[in-house]
Amino acid sequence: MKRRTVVAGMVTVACLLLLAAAGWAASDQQTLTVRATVADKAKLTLGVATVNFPDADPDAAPLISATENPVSVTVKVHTGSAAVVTLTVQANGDLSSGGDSIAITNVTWTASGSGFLAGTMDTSPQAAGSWTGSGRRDGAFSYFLANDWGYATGDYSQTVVYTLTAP
Amino acid sequence: MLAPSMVEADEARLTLGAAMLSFPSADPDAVPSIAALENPLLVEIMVRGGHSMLSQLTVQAGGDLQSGSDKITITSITWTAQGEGFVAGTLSKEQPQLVGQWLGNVNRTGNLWFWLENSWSYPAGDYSQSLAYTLIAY
Repeated sequence: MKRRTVVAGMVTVACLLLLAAAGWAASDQQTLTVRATVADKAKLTLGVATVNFPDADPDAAPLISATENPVSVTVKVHTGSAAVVTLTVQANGDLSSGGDSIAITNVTWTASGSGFLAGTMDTSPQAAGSWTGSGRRDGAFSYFLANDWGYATGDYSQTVVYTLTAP
Repeated sequence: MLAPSMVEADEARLTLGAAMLSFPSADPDAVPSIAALENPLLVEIMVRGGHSMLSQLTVQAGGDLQSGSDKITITSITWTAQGEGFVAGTLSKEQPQLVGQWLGNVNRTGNLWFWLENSWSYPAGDYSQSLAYTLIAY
């Protein structure tokens, strides 16, 4: 009698253990690797393609403001976080009207917006802005022509090239 | 005489259709939200257990997207979902995020589409991070 009771007790314990296992959580896990590439890129946008200085009396307007002032400038760059980003401007020559010319250094500009720089036009590259790292920068340039009775009459023009560099 | 009986163990199985997600470089003006090249990601869930068993699939990132010392916050990545029980969300390194939830035995397939918010503020580089997908049934 005693032996049968002991066997029954062992079977009961086994069943209880199996029932407890059925209530445990089941789980699985997987790993996913995410990669993202940010390549170097630079984009420069000017608000206008031409700036015009109207005719004016040098006594009344010693400094002629361009009719398009201020001209918006937007610089957008993906580059290294410590990379120096530069904006320069270089004129292809003096203001020219046939055989007549006005020195391009008579054109100056002021600047607004963080990192944008004022300066004087020249046939060598002139700094117009400097920043560090990636980002979008918005600014504006306002252009001025020093007026003078010594200018020969005519319609003058010249091209200036803005260059955005991000290493 | 003792009649043996079989008790099926609870089982949970998770299968992902890819081991890697890749976001290519893109102009933020043209592509403000970058789609992963592998979209959509196939997800297969199999859970065997009681009819009242609750199953949840979560995902947690190991950190931000990292390239050397440069980072892109991991919350810049979101996903949309298709399939019964699957839900959309935003990645997090702080807390597991719910991807899906089911009741009872489950044999489901879903698709996830991943998107990286683009920005001119990101430093150039090759970024990576690991995501842990966890399926728990209880």
